[in-house]
Parts: sequence; C-alpha cells; structure tokens
Amino acid sequence: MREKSQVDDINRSMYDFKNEDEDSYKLQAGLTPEIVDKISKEKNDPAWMNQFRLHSLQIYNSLQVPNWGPSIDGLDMDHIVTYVRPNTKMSAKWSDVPEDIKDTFERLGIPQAERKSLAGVGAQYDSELVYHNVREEVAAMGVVYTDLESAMHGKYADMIRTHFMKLVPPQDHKFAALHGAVWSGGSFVYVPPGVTVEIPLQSYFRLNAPGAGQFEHTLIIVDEGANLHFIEGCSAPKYNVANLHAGCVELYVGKNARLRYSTIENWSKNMYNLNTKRAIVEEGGTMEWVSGSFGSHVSYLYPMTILKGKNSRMEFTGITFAGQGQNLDTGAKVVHMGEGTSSYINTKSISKDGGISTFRSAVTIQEKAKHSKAAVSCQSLMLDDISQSDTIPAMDIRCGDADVGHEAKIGRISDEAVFYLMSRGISEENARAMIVGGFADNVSKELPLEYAVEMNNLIRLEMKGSIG
Amino acid sequence: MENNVNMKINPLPALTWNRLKMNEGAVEVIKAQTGADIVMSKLPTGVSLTKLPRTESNGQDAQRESRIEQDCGCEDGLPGNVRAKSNPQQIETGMDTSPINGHQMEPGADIGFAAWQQVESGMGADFDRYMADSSLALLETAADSHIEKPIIITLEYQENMAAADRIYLHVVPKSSLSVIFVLKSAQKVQASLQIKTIAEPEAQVELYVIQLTGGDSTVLTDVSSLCEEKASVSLTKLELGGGIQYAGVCTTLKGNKSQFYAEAGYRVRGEQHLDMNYLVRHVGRKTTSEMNASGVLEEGAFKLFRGTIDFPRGCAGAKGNEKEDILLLGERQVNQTIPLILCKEEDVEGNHGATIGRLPEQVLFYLGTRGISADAAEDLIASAKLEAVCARIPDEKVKQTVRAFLCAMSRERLCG
Repeated sequence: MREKSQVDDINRSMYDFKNEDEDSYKLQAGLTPEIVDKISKEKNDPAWMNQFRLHSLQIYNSLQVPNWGPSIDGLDMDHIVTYVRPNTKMSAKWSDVPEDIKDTFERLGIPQAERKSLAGVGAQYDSELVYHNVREEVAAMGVVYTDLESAMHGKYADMIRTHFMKLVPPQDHKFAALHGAVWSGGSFVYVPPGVTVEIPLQSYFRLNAPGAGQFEHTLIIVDEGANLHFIEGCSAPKYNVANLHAGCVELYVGKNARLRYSTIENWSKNMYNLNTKRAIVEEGGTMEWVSGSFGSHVSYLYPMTILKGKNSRMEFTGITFAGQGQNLDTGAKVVHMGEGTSSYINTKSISKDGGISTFRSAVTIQEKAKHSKAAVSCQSLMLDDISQSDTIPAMDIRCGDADVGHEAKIGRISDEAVFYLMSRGISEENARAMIVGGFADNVSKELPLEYAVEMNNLIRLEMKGSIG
Repeated sequence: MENNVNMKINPLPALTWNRLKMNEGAVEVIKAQTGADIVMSKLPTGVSLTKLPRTESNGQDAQRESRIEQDCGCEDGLPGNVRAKSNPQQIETGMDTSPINGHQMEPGADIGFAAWQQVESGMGADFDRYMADSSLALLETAADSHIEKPIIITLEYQENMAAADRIYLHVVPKSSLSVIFVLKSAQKVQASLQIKTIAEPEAQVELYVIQLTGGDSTVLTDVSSLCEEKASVSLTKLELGGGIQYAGVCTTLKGNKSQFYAEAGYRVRGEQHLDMNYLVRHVGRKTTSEMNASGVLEEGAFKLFRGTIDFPRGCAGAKGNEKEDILLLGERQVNQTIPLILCKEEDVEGNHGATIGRLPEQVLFYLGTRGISADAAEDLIASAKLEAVCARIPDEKVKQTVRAFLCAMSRERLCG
C-alpha cells in the first residue's frame, strides 16, 4: 500500500502581510438602504446611480441564495463592511501614494511590473483606487484607462450609463444585485476603433480591512478592430473573519476586435469570492479568458461569453487549485447566438489536502446559431483521498446545424510517471511538482512571462512537501 | 385532480444552475389503477416467479394487480415450475427463500422489502413512493443456475390505460439471469415500470428494456440495481416509442470488483420528449462501469440526458467511463446533455465525453455519389446507430420486432 505524507499548505507570506486600517474611513457593517445611500453620497453618484443602487438593494432582498453551489452559510452580510475608504485620494503619481499602501503594492511587485511590462496600472486598496496611470504613448492613441467614478462624471458619462450593469443586470443573481447596490472602485477602459494596445493593462485589487467587502466594477469597451490584453490580479491577508469579494466585470468586444482578459486570483482563504464576469462579442470579434484561481475560502466564478455577432469566437483557459479549507466552484458559460460562432473551454483543476474543486460549465447554442462549433475539455487531478473534485458540464443545443464536443477526465498522478522521473535522479517531491506544473501548462503558457512565473511559484508552493 | 400525482423525477445528484432546467424533471401522472397485461415466456428451470401482494393497501387490490400469463403451454397458465395457490395473488415458488443482505425475503409478507429499499431508484424518491403500492412480481434464480436463454416479458397496455408494475429480480450468488422486457401499447397509455435487481456475489445479470409504446403515451421506466462482490449487471435500453418518456437508471456497485455496463439507444422526433437520468455509484473497490448512449434527434424533439459517475470515498481502484453520441437530423430540436463525474477518491479513473452534431458533409457527399439522397443517407446512418444497440438483443424474434419498429419510423420520416 502506498504511503501518504502530509502536503504542506501554501506559504503565503508574500500575500499575508497586513497593514493597520485605523486611518481608514469605514461605514458600519450590514446592508440597509441608509448604508447604500451613504455609499452613494460618498461617491457623489448622479441621481440615476443612486436610484439604481437602491433598486438593486430591493432586488438583493428579494432573491434567494443559490441552492446549487458551495455553502456560504459562513457569510453574514450583517457583519460585512461594504465600504472602506483608505486615507488617501487617487493619484497618478506613485510618489503621492501613502507609504504603507505603496509598500503593500511594492511587495506585490506592481510598480516593478508597470515599469517592465505594462501599458498602464490601476491599484485598488479596499474600496477605492489609490493609483491609476497609463503610459503617455498609449493615452496618445486615444486609449482611456481611468477609474470608473471619474469616467461617470466626465465626458464618458453617457457611455458609462449605456453600458453599466447592462450585461450583468442586478436581477441576474443575488450577488449581482448586491454589487449593484454597494459597488465602489474599479476601472473603465475604452480602446478606440483600430487601436492595438501592444502591452497589457493591469488592475490589482488588494483588500486589507478585516470583515470588509470589495465590490469593484470593471467596464471595458474594445471598439471595432481594436485589440487589448487586460490583466487582473487580486490578493488579501488572511483574517479570522469572513471577507467578501463581489466584483463585476463587463466586457464589450466590438466588431473584429479582440480582448484577452487574464486573471490570477489569489485571495486569502477567509474570502468568499462571488464574482461575476461577462462579455458580449460582436461580429468577427474574439474574447479570450485566461483564469487562475488559487485563493479564497469559497469561490463562485464562471466567466460568461455571449457570442452575439456572426463568426465571433471565444476561448477560455483556466486552472483551479483547491487546497485545505477551500471550496472552489469555477468554470465558464457561453451562449452562441450568431451564425458561425465558435467556443473552446479548456480547464484543469487540482484538489489536495481536503480541498474541493468543482468544474461547472454551460454551453448554449441557440436556434439561429447555425454552423456553430463548441468544444469543452476539463481535466481534474486528485492529489489525495481526502479531497474532492466534481465536474458538472451542461450542454443545451437548440440548433440542428451545430457541432459540439465534450470530454472530461479525472484521475491522479500516475505512479509510472513519478517512477520514471525518479529514475532520472529527480526527488519524488520535485517529480510530483513537475507533473502538476506540466498539468497547469495550458494556463501558464497563455500568460505574460512574469505572471506565468508567479503562477508557477504558487503551484510550487502548494506542492511543497507533497509526497504521496 | 384528485387522481393526479405530481412528481419530481430524474433528479441530478449534484445540482447546477436552476435556469438551465436540468436539475430534475416534473411530471403529472394519473394514479395508476391497474397493472399491465404481462406475457412471460416459459421460465427455464432454476428460475421462479413469485407474485407478491402490494406493500400497502388502498382497498383496490384486485384492480391494481397485473395479469401475468405465459405464452407457451404451461400448467395452470402459470410459468415454469410455478403453481397457483388458493390465493390467486400468491404463487408458490417451490424454492427456499434466500436472505438478501441479512433480510429474509418472504414472499407474501412485507419482511425483506428493506433490502429492496436499498436499491436506489434512478428516478428518485417521488417515483419510488408512487410505485410503492403497484403490483409486484419477483423473479429469483436458484443457486448456481446459469440461464442461457433469456426470459422475455412483454408488458402490454390497452388504450387509455394507466398502469404501474414492479418487477424485482433476485439473482443469487454465482447464478446468472437474462431478461428482455418489451413494452408495447395502443396509441395513448400511461405506463410505469420499475425493475429492481439485486445481484448477489458473482451473479451475472443481463437486462434488455425495449420501449415501443404508442406515440401519445406517457412512459416511465426505472431500472435500478445493486451489485454485490464480483457481480455484474449489463443493461441494454432502447427508447423508441412513447410521447413523453422518462427513463431512470441507477446502479450501486456495492461489492468489490462488481461491474455495470449500459448501452442506451434512442430515436425521438416531433413532439416526443425524452428525459433520462443514468447514475452509477462506485462504492466497492476496483469496481468498473461503462455507460454509452447513442441517439438520434429529429425535428421538434426534446431530449435530456443526465449521466453521472459517482466515486465516493473508499472506492479505490474504480474506473468509470461514460459517452453520449448524438446525431441531429432536424433544423430545430432541443438536445440537453449533462454528464457528471463526482469524485471523492484519489485512486480512480473517470472519463466522460459527448459528441453532438449533424452528419458530416463528406459523408453526405460520399453517399450522394452512390445515388443515395441526403434524406435517405441521414436515415441510413440513424438506423445504423440504433441497429448497433438492437444487435445486442439475444432473441431473434424481439430483434425483428425492434427492426420492424425502426423501419416504420424510417418510412414515416422519408414518406411522410
């Protein structure tokens, strides 16, 4: 009988440091019309947004918690602070950011990444953006990258009003409604027709306050023939109380445009990550998702793509790593509406140390989506017998002229592969880490080098001491 | 209406988004007042039939019982070595009753039904309750009996009949049993059939369920099995007739090295609605399962296939495979497929796959160059898919009946 050894938990020291939040301004915990109204006043919302928030709260109160996903019984909205404002204003100069916050992002490598490989950076700390900057040459091409609240009051006000929570309406689900009521922070990106942003933009979200929620809204419009890669990163220190992330991402991909949206999610393991991401793609457009889910206590995360235009396409590449105390319910959804649309969902999941990983997907091909093609591939790796890995892929095909394929595999690391590597002088621990790293290769090869290295580091840390 | 029963049916073992409407089906049925007319081929030596009284009484016993006959000369009109007792609802088997999982199976009494309650229904608890007081027949093998020739049980339903029947199969250690069930009916009936099997250690069971009911019928068939150590159950299921069809299949591989194999074929068209739920639970170690579904959807039809391989903790060495292959022949139909793998054990291998689509243009072109029209080519390939499942039926006469049914479907499609 094979012997099992203990798999160490991740060394999270690079994410787990925390700052005192005594200088910040907080609203009281809970969710009432008065609190929502206070947030609205804090944000200096236009009247329509104030009404939108209060209406969303009504919807939130009328909707049920999902009955099909991981339990969120540990999340008590009466104990969640929905708005925490750090003691600073947003700056476009790194030197103006307060020392403790600057130190936080420097330890996370954000300014270094900006200098090396990014076209622009937004950094959100708790409920507000503290830094936002875009390279001059990128701004000169007409690319807009700013915080959503500024955009709502400036010349893009109409554009924001036309697009804000139209893809993800508050009626969509309970936590979309929550987001509509208390959202704060986030970015607005507009790429004009025909413009290609050669290097990525990045937003990084850091939640420092214990017992708080982060509800940033990201709205990206990539106009006809334009091209953009947007990277989202997130982390938080671990506390003994529940934190909540209920962000919302809305992506509009124009005719023949291309958008790649990459996420490395590494929330702390007391986080409830109930995030909603959705894209709509016009004729000939391309949406690419690259997603790595490593953190959170509980995650509900299924980026959805609506292939509205003829010959539009999407590709989703994802990896989920569920360790001790984690229940990560992740996957993707796609709706084929236009003729000749195509989609490919390719995911890997790894469960260890009692972690639960669920792959959940939905592929819908509507009646008019003739000549559409869809393929789904999901592979799950079980690293011990106390973990759990489920796959729940749904397909709903309503068009006779469609071509759909699906495959899924579940298994463990083969003894033969480990033996082969060990016979070449590699230790068992390294052999297993190498195999897991190779298993995750589909995601890491899609990321810019710096982020692929970060992801591989995360996997290596997760696998440290993993012999079994 | 008072006589109507609303049921949640074919529940998915792990829920998904409610808006997809795949988590379960909902059906309203008339409370069955009778059983089907059952014709059974001569029972081979080593198999006994016991017709058991209902477990609950609703005061309408006589109406709820099936009429079981034998189609080839046998004393008293009863099968094989079975004789009638003074109470016509009880038939003495002439065999010792056998313990099942520690419960004594006593024909004519309720004791022992706890064992059958362990056999989980593929259609869910509501259907189990609905069937609880329907007529019940028990087929049992004798120890070490190996039945080569299949028993053929034909269930016939008269026009407007609402019938419910339970047939339990108890296959004792190291014995084997092969049973073909054929469901036939007039145009509009409501037929409910529950087949439960307990396969004791090293038992081998082959089941064939052929559904050829009338086009306006509501048909519910539930095939559930429990396999003890090294036992195997093989199921071949054809869904061809009926209007609204619900099919539940659940097998629990309880014993180590037990096996389950399922091959399902279906062809649905027009207003037909087919809702399937296949579930295999690997409880024992080194258990294996394979579930293949192959079907054809024509214009206007609805089909939902739920297929689940469940690896609970402790089933080390288990392997499960599942595949669905769907040919779309219409412009508009609804095909829903949701294949699940639930896994709490490291040392397992699970695979599932699905392919959904039309005939490739190359195939149509090739057949076209041989003088075969596109419609005829599509029908040819559709028939071939079903023929592959039909070929598994171990009785020529039943096979011919199925082929005739398939031919009629083809004629109707091609000639209107």
